[in-house]
Amino acid sequence: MKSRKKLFSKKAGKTAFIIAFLLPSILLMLVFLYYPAINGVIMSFRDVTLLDLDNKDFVGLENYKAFLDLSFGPSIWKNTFLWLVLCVGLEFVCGFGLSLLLQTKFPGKKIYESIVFVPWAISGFAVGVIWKWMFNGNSGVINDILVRLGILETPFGFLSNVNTAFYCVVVAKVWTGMAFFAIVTLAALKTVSKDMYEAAEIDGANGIQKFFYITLPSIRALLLLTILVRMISMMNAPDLIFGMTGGGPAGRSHTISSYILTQVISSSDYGEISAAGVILWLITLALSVIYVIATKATKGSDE
Amino acid sequence: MRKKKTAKYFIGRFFRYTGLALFLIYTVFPLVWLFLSSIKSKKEMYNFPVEYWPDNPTLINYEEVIRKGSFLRYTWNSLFLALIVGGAVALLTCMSAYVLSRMNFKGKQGVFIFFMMTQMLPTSAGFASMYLLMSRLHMTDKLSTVALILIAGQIPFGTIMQIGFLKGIPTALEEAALIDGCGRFKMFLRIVLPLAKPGLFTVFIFTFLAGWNDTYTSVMYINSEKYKTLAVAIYSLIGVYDINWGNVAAGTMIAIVPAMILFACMKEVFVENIGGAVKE
Repeated sequence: MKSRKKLFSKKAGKTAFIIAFLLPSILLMLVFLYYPAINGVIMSFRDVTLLDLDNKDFVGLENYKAFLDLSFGPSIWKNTFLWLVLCVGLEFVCGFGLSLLLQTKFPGKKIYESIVFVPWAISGFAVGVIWKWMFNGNSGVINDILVRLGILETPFGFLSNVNTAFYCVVVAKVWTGMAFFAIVTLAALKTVSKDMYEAAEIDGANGIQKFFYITLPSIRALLLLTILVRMISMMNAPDLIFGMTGGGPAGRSHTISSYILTQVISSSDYGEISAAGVILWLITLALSVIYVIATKATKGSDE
Repeated sequence: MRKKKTAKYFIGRFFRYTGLALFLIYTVFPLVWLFLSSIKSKKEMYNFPVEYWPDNPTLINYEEVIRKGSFLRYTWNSLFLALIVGGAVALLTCMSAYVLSRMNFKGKQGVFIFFMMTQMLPTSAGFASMYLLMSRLHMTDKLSTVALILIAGQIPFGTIMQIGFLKGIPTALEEAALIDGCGRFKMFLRIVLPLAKPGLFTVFIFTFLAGWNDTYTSVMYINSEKYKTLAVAIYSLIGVYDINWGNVAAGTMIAIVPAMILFACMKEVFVENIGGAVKE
């Protein structure tokens, strides 16, 4: 009888423990992640504006149409595509190149790594501000260098030109993204077994052959997954653009996520912002599905 | 034969060091330029062609942002936010990770899916909705609101990370304590937390940095002078037509130098976990 009572209280204690330990996290996620996201999807079909917050009228796809019909809409799509492909591509090439250079020992390597990796730790917003000043059209240092080299005659307003603003943002983003890829590919390169290199050396392979026949095939899958992870996070990375151009001039350097961020702060058409968010989510989801398929495929090939 | 090899060796070395030098310049130059800009006087700031080294280095920009712009308060707010977010996430995720990785109970699978599903949610569609919710609850313009939003956002990532760390800790001590009649809460406090220090610490510095670097949420929710973080303050500085770049440079230095120092000191922890996250 006594032991049964003890057993019961022990079980109750366990349940209380589980609830006490999970509930705070679950509540936080419910209120700050689940509720806004689900309500946001509903709002994207409603005519919710700052002036009429309680409007419950469903307007079908009106909000989506409004977002897709934006005057600078085409450039948002083009920029988002370039942001994922050109920007991630350059980040990867630079970062992978850097990590290959770091494969050999040299004096001061530890300090060198601490320096070249450090942009990873700086907020995207601050990076945007730094490069906004670098590209300044009157007394920016990049204009100074180009004029001194004779490439430009007079300073050029890189960030106020609709054709160049976005590419300047890419240069700034590569500055931080390169560090990310260098760190990750360095970890990937460590997984390649040294025996294979030694065997290849005995067979007389040179550095380039070793790279293409050993290094690359061994970490190909890892690199692909890294690139996909980066693309997914880049879909939701508005702060650099926000700090550097604010999407300007005339909205021509916006990606979908930076457009949403600036609109949440400045606009009052919450229905349309939510619709843009749903579209962004669908793209992210598509990338995630590709990621899951790729993970399964690469796991299968390893076996 | 031997001569050919040395020539090749030197060419290889030349390319390698040139490459390393180029990456170093690309990385360091913007930071040096920012620093030099922050110690220039207004007169030298806007010269063209640019004068790289200021003739009369001055701290006037730092003085201005701290005296007139109350950047000390903003720094404190950013630090406070980072500490709260880092501390809360480290502790909360250690708790949830412990339950999810060590205990068996009904509905565990469902809870786990609840944690993981957050990564698939249309978060981007929820920004406006969240803002409305916060306005209704009269929670806008508060640092605690920003903190809560950031904490919630970091819980899934932190939990996964801590589960990974807990896997490496043997369960024998915990079992012995339970058999000896130690209560679960006491056992967690006395045995699990001390052993879980590496996981707690790693999650803490990652989320601390995320809190310190937050822009999105602070800019969205904070308006009043009292609660501005560094990001919001810098955003106000660049939001005017006639930007005072000396002040912006000094303010940005104040925002990025602590993050850079943290990274340099904890480089191994960061590098290992950024790299490790992808390897799994």
